[in-house]
Amino acid sequence: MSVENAPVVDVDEAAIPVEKKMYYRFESNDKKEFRVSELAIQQSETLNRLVEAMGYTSEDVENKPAIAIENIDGKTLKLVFQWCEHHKGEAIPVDDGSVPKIVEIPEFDAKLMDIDNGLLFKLIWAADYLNIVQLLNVSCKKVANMAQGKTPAQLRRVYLLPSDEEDEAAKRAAQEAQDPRAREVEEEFEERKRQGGNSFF
Amino acid sequence: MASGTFSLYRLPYIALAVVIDCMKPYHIFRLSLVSKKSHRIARSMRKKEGKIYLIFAQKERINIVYRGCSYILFIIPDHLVEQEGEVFELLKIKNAAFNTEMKRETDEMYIQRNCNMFAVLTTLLEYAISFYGQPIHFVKIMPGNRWELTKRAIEWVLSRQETIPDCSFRCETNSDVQFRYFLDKIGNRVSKQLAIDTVSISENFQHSFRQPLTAVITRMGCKPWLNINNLYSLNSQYIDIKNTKFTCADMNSFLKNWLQGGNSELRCLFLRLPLTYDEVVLDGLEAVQRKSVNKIEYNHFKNNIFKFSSSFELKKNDGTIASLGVENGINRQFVMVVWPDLLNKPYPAHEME
Repeated sequence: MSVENAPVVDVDEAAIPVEKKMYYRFESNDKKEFRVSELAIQQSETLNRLVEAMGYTSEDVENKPAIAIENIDGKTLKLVFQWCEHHKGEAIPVDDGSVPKIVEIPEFDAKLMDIDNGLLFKLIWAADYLNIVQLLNVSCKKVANMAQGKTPAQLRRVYLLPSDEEDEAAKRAAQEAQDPRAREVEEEFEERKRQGGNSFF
Repeated sequence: MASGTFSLYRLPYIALAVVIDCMKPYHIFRLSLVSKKSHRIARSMRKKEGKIYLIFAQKERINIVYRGCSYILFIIPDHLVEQEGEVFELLKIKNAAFNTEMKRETDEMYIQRNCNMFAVLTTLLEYAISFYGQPIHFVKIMPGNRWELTKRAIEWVLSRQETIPDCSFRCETNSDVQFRYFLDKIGNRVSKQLAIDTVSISENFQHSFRQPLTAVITRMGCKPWLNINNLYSLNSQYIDIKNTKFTCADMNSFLKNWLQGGNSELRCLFLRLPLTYDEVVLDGLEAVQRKSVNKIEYNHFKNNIFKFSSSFELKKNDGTIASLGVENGINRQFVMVVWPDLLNKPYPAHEME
């Protein structure tokens, strides 16, 4: 897709400064394009390293194709870059080992994450992939908060955790999928048992 | 993903670890109860330094403590009243099954009493010990505890571990029997801190320790009952006794015993004792009175500092020096500190006159 035709999503138009600052262009896996400030990119260790390695000039940014982010769709990437623009310039938090981990969810983040759990899952996945420490913290904190006031059985329902029986069944299915002969052998064994054989061999 | 649900175990490893790090310790513990796989994941991702507290009171509690913050894993009340909006659930651990109730407002999990509370308590403890990979760190016996259950549970704990690092006893009703049991069975198995608070004992209570108490720190806040022979049997590094009935002759005897190698671990002795250093206390001792222009500082337990400018110096044959603080002040304490202090600062002889 050419730059002219791309559905450019300006994440934070008000934030576009008068002075000349570098804005990078990124493209999601569903071809949505985003312009993101250099400072906002610093929230993502992965993207920061990538743009540093590319060494783009302002002209390069405009003339070369947008940097493709293959694993993340436009809807998710929009949330990611909105978050990065809002928190640009903030220090990357360092884990202090506190138990439980101390993470406050600011109002902006709470509103940003007022989304369905499917999209929240993708947002966490993206924050992990792009190594955005604080976005990963706040989004994971939201998931952790779902455990509030829940019994083990309720946790199983909320977090879609399989029971021991379901885990066993999944394990057997995976083994059989890996080795179709195993199933044949087992069926043959069962058949011989039915016929009264004492020994399989 | 259905509304209100979230596929936790489909998250990448790092994200899952962050979610679990953000959970309260009791949420991680409950997660471990969901299935074998959940147990493995929760156990591998929980923080390692948690300490298990076992509290006997009107409601027994099992807590996990991280860096001084206590989180309740289970509460065992004397009875449960079913209330609207609360969730009852059958919990299975190994071969045991018991009813639980979740108090949503406080996020606390109660175990419903049934005919064998000892079995329930020990099943839960066994699970917690295995999950955290830690022995029980602290046993606290509080007023209103169900003594028979307490006693059996403590015996169970002591059959599994040689010592309990930290132990506290408090009882406000008449408790000679409980106190005696505590001193005999538990006192000498406490390794770090033994705290005896308000204990209601009879006026003539007496007790001889079967074995010396060797907790590093011993604190007693109960009625004065210790005799001087009991004090000889406290081989702690730090002894703090709020109420005593020792006489000047007792303290003289104690100091002579120390000079001859008694109470060999002693570093600090604080006794609430309105004592003046008359001839009786120091009779027969080569005690030298010392004064310093600036206050001498002795660093002791829990970052506390004892300051004094006037003292009596006692020296053992092996060269060990103790200072007896003579400034009774408002607390009217008998204080004895043995050098070097806990920061290994030697006796500041050059600052003394």
